[in-house]
Amino acid sequence: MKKYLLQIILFAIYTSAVFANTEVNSLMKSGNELYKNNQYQSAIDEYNKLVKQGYEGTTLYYNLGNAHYRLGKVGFAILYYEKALKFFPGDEDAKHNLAIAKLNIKDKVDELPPFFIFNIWEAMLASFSVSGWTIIGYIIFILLLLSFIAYFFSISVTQQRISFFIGVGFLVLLFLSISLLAVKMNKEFNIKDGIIVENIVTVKSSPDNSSKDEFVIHEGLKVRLEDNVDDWVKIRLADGKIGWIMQKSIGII
Amino acid sequence: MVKSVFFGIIFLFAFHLQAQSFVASVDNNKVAENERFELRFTFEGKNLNALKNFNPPALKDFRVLSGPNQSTSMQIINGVSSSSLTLSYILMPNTTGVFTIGSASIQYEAKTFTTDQIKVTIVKGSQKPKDDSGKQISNEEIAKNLFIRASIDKNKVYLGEQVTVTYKLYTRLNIASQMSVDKLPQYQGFWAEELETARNISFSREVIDGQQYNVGLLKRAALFPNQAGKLEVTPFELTIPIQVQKKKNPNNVWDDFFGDPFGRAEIVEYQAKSNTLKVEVIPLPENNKPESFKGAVGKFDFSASLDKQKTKTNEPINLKFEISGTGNIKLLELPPFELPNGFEKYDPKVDEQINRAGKISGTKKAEYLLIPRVAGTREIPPIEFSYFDPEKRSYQIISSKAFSVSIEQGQGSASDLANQQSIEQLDSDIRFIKTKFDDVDKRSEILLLKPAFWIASLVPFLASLVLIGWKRKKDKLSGNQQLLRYSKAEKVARKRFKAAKKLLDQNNIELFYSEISQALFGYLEDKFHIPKSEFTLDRAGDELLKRNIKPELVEKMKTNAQKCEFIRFAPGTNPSQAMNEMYQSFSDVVISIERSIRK
Repeated sequence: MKKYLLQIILFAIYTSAVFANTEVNSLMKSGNELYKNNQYQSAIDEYNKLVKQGYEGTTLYYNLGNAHYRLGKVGFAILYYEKALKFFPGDEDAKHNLAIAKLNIKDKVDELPPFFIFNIWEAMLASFSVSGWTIIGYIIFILLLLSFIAYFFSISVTQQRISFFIGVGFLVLLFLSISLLAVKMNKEFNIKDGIIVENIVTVKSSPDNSSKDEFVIHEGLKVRLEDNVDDWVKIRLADGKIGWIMQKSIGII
Repeated sequence: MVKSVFFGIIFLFAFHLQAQSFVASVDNNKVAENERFELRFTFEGKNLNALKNFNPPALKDFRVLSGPNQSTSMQIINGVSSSSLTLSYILMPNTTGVFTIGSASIQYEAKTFTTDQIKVTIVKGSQKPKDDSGKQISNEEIAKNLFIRASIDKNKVYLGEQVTVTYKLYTRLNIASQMSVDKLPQYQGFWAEELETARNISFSREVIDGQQYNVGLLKRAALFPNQAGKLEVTPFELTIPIQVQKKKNPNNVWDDFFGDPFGRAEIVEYQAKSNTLKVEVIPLPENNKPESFKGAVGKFDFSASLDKQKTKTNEPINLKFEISGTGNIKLLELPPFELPNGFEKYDPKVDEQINRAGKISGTKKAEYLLIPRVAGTREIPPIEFSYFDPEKRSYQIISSKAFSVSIEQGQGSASDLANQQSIEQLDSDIRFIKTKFDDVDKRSEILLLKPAFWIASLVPFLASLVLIGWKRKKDKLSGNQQLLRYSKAEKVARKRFKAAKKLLDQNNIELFYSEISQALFGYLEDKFHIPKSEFTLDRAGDELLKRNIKPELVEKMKTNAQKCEFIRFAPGTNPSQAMNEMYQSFSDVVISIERSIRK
């Protein structure tokens, strides 16, 4: 009975993926074909058609990143790699290509080295996406229930004890994954990072073209978005510098 | 002993206090005019370092040729050291007469010592053979014929404006040899720039008050006042040896014959001193002072130029400034300028050429190296240089044009890469695109917000609850609560023993025995799953033996139980003692059985 339940759930999760639609198929295929023939701009156009229709996915963003990189648009390439990694943080290819694309960044912003515990926390957060953490939490929840049942069905004291401790372990894991999920969701929905996609951007002190120049940043730099007024967005650099730039010069991850 | 040493030290100390003296002396009380003499102040004492505040007398009747000269000496006689400090002056009398040299004072260890006054008689040099041939002309006479005059071109100047000071020597006498400088003028409150003068003094003739003088230019200096107010230039002092013709003695006929045909000349050293100069310095007007004003006063011309209008990133361009004109070139500050973003500026190379004839003038050139780091068209805003023109009494502003520079993207130079640290060794190219695209999908809602997710989590939860509830119900129905009983057996027994203890205290014999026998039997029933109806002592003993419990313990349990049954129905003579014994042995049995099971 339990087995069936799990199967049903997994089925529900992947149900839409199974019914991958033919449009995706044709557009992705033609995009990849164009890429192979070095027609990168056309490939981008094909992929973008999918994006416009509301499709997303690591592969789509990764391929878009590659096409932009081939055209020398490092900013866009980095943006799409970041997007791909946001979807599936463990993607090897995207990580590799992002590292290469980042070599072209002109600005070096000094970041404070984080405390090692935060490093571990960040690494854990980065290892799965929101859906990933949801699924993990769900699996732990089911396991917890199973150990709960095992406790009541155990015949001997030893069995009871084992299932009790396993249950406690799963409870701890459940809390951990729920808190990770909460933090991850907060990051996802409240904190927005962007990549500079224009070659050179002069950052202004206020959302106004006539205001003073604060500093200059270059394509590919990752910044945090904090506020927006009309066409302007407020950005914060890793070292704490703050300024305003036009929305068009930045791509939101 | 210690005391005597202490007194000894005090005694020594007192001795030395007495041994101090401060005496004034002259080497000669009778001095001829034009003769030097020495005035000395000698202090004798132990610790010369404790001396301070030497206060010499006023020596206005004499000329101080040198001094105070300081000399110290130290001597040790019979192991007692004494040292002395001598302050001496070499004096020269001004006129004849009897003069009193006042007393000097000095402080030594919070005590002030003073000297006595000294009388000095200055005579007309009668005792000296030099007398008749002595000084032929007095100082006044010389002063009339030889003097230094300091003059300035302006008495009232603006702050930073040039004043030229000229020192000229006027003489009607012959100067014998090289003059020596005693004291150079001090230009306090000025920035001084020596002006060029001829190496040798060349004399020209000038008539002053009907007298003809030979006039020589000694020194010229350009002064730039750097503080407002009334400033002074201290006099220039020179010692000039002059040749004085000896007067012929009209009584001495031989002189006419045997006298020096060129005239007997004598060299007299004369100390000449120029006048003190006063300059009034007016501060610069505050109104209309331009922002770019950095203190330049004079008359200047300014130009700025850029060597290239077009460049590539990381290829330097030069921004040149040239300021020329009259004024204090050396202290000229370069005009500040703003650079657009994306430029690196290096310290300028400055070159000065100063012309020191008359008015200080010259050119200051500065070259800034600018390195554009970002491609694009940039504009360097106009550069402004301003100065104060004392002639026009107003500020002048010279502004350059704005420079626009177009910068092309150059090759990423080595310096560009050097900015990035620790570049990991990576493959040189990106990896190929992914061809599997199962993951591409419509933007889905967050799993957590989908009702299906919540249903999927609630269903197993409820299912497990139902399952557990069903199981428990089934357990109850089957009466199979063995496990529960098993785990609770010990607790129940303990509770019964507690109740038995209470009954024991109350001396309730009947109930006590039923309680402790129930404690033991109930424990055995629960622990070894023996139904109440089937319970016998033998059955319980068998069960215990099955679980590898020592036969002695089983035997003990059995005898105790039997004893209990017996006493229960036929209490003895001393019931409370028997009850105590029973209680003890029963609880012992239960505890030992529990222990051996646990093992």
